[in-house]
Formats: sequence, C-alpha cells, structure tokens
Amino acid sequence: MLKKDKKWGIFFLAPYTISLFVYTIIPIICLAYFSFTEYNLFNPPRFVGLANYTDVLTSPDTWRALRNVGVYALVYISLNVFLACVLGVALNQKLKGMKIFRTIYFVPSLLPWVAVSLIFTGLFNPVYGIINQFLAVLGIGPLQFTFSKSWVEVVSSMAIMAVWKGVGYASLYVLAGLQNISEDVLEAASIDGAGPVTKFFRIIIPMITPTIFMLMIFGLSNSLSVFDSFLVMLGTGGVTSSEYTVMSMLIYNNAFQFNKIGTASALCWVAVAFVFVITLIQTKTEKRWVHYE
Amino acid sequence: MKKICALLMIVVLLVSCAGCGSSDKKGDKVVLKIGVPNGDDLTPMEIIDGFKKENPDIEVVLDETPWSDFKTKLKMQISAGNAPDVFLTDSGYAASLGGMGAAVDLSDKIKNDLNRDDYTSALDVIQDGSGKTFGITHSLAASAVVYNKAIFDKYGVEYPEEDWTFEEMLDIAKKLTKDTDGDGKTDIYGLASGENITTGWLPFILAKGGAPLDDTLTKSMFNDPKTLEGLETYRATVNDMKITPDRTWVTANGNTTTAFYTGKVAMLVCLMGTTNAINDNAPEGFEYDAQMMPIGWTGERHCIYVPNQWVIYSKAKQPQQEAAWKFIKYYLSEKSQNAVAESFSTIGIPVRKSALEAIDKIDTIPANKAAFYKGLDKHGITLFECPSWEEWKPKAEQAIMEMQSGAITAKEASDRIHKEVKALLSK
Repeated sequence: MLKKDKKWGIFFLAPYTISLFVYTIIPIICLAYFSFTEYNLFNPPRFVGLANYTDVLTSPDTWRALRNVGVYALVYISLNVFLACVLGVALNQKLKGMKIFRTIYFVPSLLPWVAVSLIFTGLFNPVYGIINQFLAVLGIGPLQFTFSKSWVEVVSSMAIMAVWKGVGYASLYVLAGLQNISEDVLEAASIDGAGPVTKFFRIIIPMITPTIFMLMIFGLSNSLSVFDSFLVMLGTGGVTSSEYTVMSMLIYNNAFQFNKIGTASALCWVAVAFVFVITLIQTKTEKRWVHYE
Repeated sequence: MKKICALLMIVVLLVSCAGCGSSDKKGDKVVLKIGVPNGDDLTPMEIIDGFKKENPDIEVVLDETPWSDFKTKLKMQISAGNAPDVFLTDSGYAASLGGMGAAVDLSDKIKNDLNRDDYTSALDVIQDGSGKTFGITHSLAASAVVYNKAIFDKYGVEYPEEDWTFEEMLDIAKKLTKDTDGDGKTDIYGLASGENITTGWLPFILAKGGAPLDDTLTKSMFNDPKTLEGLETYRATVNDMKITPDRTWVTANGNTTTAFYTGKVAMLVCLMGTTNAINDNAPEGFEYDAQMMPIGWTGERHCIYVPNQWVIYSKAKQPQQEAAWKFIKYYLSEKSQNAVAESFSTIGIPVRKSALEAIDKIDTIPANKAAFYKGLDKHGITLFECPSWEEWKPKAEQAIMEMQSGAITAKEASDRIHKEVKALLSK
C-alpha cells in the first residue's frame, strides 16, 4: 500500500519538480556559468573569468541603478506599509458599504503598469498636470515630479505612483492580519483608557508586525523588479537616462539590447547579493520588532 | 500503472516534439523561411506571391511578427540557431549581426549579380571597415522638414525654399515661436525635432561639420569641437532660444506629431512615415508641405535616413542561402520596387532609381514628397551603424536627454559620451 502511495506521490510531484528544474534550477546554473563568459547569443560562450564582474562593479551605471533601487525601495516600502496599515484599519470598521470601498482601493492594483504610467505621466506634468493644478490652489509648487532634474525627486515620484497602485492590495494583507486580533484585547485596552491612536500604535501595529514584515519583503522584491513604469515614463524611444536607471533595466538592456549575456548574468548576481544583504539585515532585526503569537 | 505512465510520457514527448521539427526540404523543393515583421504593411505580399510564382522549386514559409516584437523574437531564434533564412531588420541590428558573424557578407553577390547603376547609393550601406556588406536595403525611412502653411501665412513668413540653410530654419523658428494669448507661456513653437538620433541631435552635429564617429566607424568623435558645437546649438534650441518645446510640453501635448497637426508647432523634422499620422489625424483643411533638410553651416546638406535591411542568416544551409539571394534579387527587380513605391509612405522609399520616378506620380500629401528622397543619392547619410551601434547610440541618447532637460551642459554631455563610446569601440 505504502509503495503504491509512494508511486502516486512521485507522479503528482513530478510536474512541479520537473518545471522547478527546467525553469528555475537549470537557469540559475546557466546564469552562474554565463556570468563568467562572454556570450552574444550567437557565438559560443567564451570563458573570461571575473571580467564581467569587474566591468559591472566598476561601472557607474550599476551603482546608480542600486542607488535608485535603494531610494525607490525606501520610499515605496515605508509609504506603502504605513498607508496600508491606516487603510487596513479604516476598512476594518463595520460600516455600511465598506465592501465597496475595499473594492475601490483594490482596483488600481489590477491595472497594467503601462496604463498606470501613462495616466501618471499626465498627472505629474509640472505645467499641465492635475496634481500641480491642485497644489497651486493650496499655494504649493509647482513640483516637477518625474520631470525634475533631481534623480531623488524622479525616483521618489515613481515610488509614490507605485504606492498608489499597490496600497489597496497591501491593505488586504493588513485587513487579514487585523481580523486575527482578538476583540478582547482591543476591548481591554479601551477599558484601560486607550484612545484610537494609542490602540493603533500600541496594540494594532505590534500585533500585525508579522504582516508588516512580510509586506516589507514583498516591497523589496517589487522594488528590485521595477521596470515597465521607468521605461514608459522616463524613456524616449526605449532609452532612459542613466541617472534614472534601475537594475532590471540594466539587465534587460545588456541581455536583449546589447546581446551581452555575460554582463547581464553578472548584474543578476549583483542584484541577488543586494537583496541578500538587505534581507539579511531585515531578518537580523526581525526578532527585535516582529512579534509572533 | 507503469505502462500507463510510460505511455503518457511517450505521448507527451511526441506531441511536444511535433512542434519543434523543421525541414529544409519539402519533396524536391527548397524550403525558404522569410522573416517579415509587420507582414504586408512593410513587404507587399504581391512581391512574395510573385517570387513564389517565378520559383516553383522554392517553398516559401513566412515568419510574421509585429515590428515591435520581431527583434526580440529574432534574437531568441538566433540564439537557438533557427532564425529565418532571410529576414528584414533595422540597420543598427544588421550591423550588429554582421559584427558577430550572423549575417552573410553579400559584397561578392552584389558585385557579380547586380547592376550597381540601377540603384541609389543606399543599396548596400551596412558595411564594415573592410568592405564587407551585411545587408541589402529593403526601404529607406528618410527625413525632411514639414511645415504648417497656415502658421507661415498668418505671420507673413515665406515658405522655405530648397536651398534654405540651418541658420534660416532657426531664424524662421524664432519668428514663428509665439505667445498668442499673452499669458507668458509659448503657444506655438517654431521648430520641433525630437530627442532621437535621426530627427533630433544628429542633424545638428552634421550641420556644424561634426560627426559621432569617424569614417571608419571605429573612433568616437564626440570630443570633436564641431560635434560639440552641434550639440550646443541643439541644446540651445530648447534651453536658450526656446524655439523648440521641452519634454514637459511635448508630453502634455501628446507628441511632436500631434503638436504639429494641431497647429502648436510650425515646423517639424520628421521621417516620411510621420506624414501618414499627419494625414490620418489632422483636422480637415489642415495644409502643410515638406522641404528638404536645410544646408548646414559648412555649406553641405545632410539628408539622414534609416535603411532597413534584408539580411541572410549565416547559419542557413547553402541551398537556403542561395534561395534567399534569389529572393532579394527578385525584391530588387523593377516590378517589385514599383510595388514598394506604390506604398512608399508606409513602407519607405525604394532603392531602385526607376521606382523613385513612380513615387512622383502618386498623388498624396505633402505635395513636395520629393523633399524626403530628392537629396538622398547626393546628400544621403545613415546613422553611423557599426557592430556596437545598438550600445553606443543609447549611451549617447541617455546623456543627450539629460542635456536637453538642462541638467548637464553640452560639454559635459559630449565628454561623457566620448568617454563611454571610446570605451565601447575599443572593445
């Protein structure tokens, strides 16, 4: 009986295991191999030792891309997590019609990046954009957003756009986390005299820290893979200023524009190392602030 | 159970392998795979059909993909070793394929099989320094300046003549840059070009006597004082003279073409294909015409064009390579080139001299269509395509974009581009 079960187990596991090998493990091995070669997709790969890594690590483009990804991640993760928590708590109220609001906030996450980018190109326009028209009424601006000469403003604006798109989705995770908080705890806090702000910062936030931690990990991964919006909003004819480049664009350009598979593979490993270091820091600090029940 | 599993696996393998197979021969026929991006829009099917009819011993298989995806697909096919035997691609990629050995050298075939006098100089422009030719020009996307007649008439400015100069073009642009409602913002810009190589910065560099690369296409010339002068003038049109709109304005108004046919731009440097968008979208009664690219400060005129290429894949088998050359020769025949000429506004300008005469007889707007091709033979120049073109051009454009936004000076841009392009070419 056990032997028969084992066979069925292998049978059912086979599709996933095979695709894991074909689409994940073998490409990772190839990526490692190609990163030590010069390969243009036509001629056979030629071993060049660490030359690709030297090129990549001495190229200002790599450091600009990492800098931009870092700033993007910082703005995106902090704003996204904070607003998702606020929105999550707001949407957790037992009010009439709340389901409609949950849907409304979720809708932007369903839109394709290209559409969102085109919408925001108009919204961010310093002269004609609706955001600046609104800010002008308040006596602020005009802000340059993605049209600015400052890379910090450009990259931060891109992150703000991503927050608009993603916060509804993130708030659903927070909502799920909130629903695990026992009513008794909140009620006890109220009896002890805690107001809504105290409850939010002292009870709710600490109790959903595992969700917040997960959102941070997702946010980092999203930041590293950001691509379409930068290409659509900051590019002309497929070219984007190197001041605003990000890792995925560098990898794409090297692999598919310049046919430099070796350089692109080395860049992938640099990106992996970047994520590894940040995730390590996150994991090391996790114990200090993430509370599991 | 074992038998069922084994049987299932065999079926799956057979089904998946069925799609992978390809045959070079079908009976006695040679199978020729032709890569035609955008299908009939760029390569008239009557040419393909005519070729099939004349060559019953060749079985033609078309590999059609939209232009935007074709190159990505082609790169994957090349890496897998199963690219079409002959395919159409842009000139930059053709040069790159030549550099890596994926394109057949056609120089001997051109010498032996074609009468060079029948064709314009654009026939075989994708070459390396040693005289190898990596493609045959499928069609040209050539540049000229289109102008809005109503704006010229309203402000009493004469239409440009064929012998106009860059200096005159900038003067006209200054006269036609207007704040019509007096709110301090420009409503009509005199000149729109673009931030790209073809209609943007290269015309200015050439007009000043500079060049991005030297004649051998192996050395960067971005540090040349004349090249710098060209970049400075190009930058000044947006940042100092303010006769050309910046990116903020262009984005808010759609793009330069939209701005032109909505009367917000008086002159537009553009490629022939842009006139289709103008003709399709312009409001009724919109009148415009075209003029040749102006003469530069050196007294020389440069008519920049993009020569899309037919390339024969070097890993194609010998019978396929021969069939591919037969196809190219058929494409260059008078009959086929006249078919190209009939749809010149979407396909591009043909390379056979006799077909150019056919274009003149076609009644389309702009009236002066010749502005796009008249100077090609004498003043035509391509985009300095070399094996590293696909890499150096974006590098240059990255810096030029920053320069046009006012973030860096022309000197900073040229220094940076020179350093990067020099490093690339030295590899």
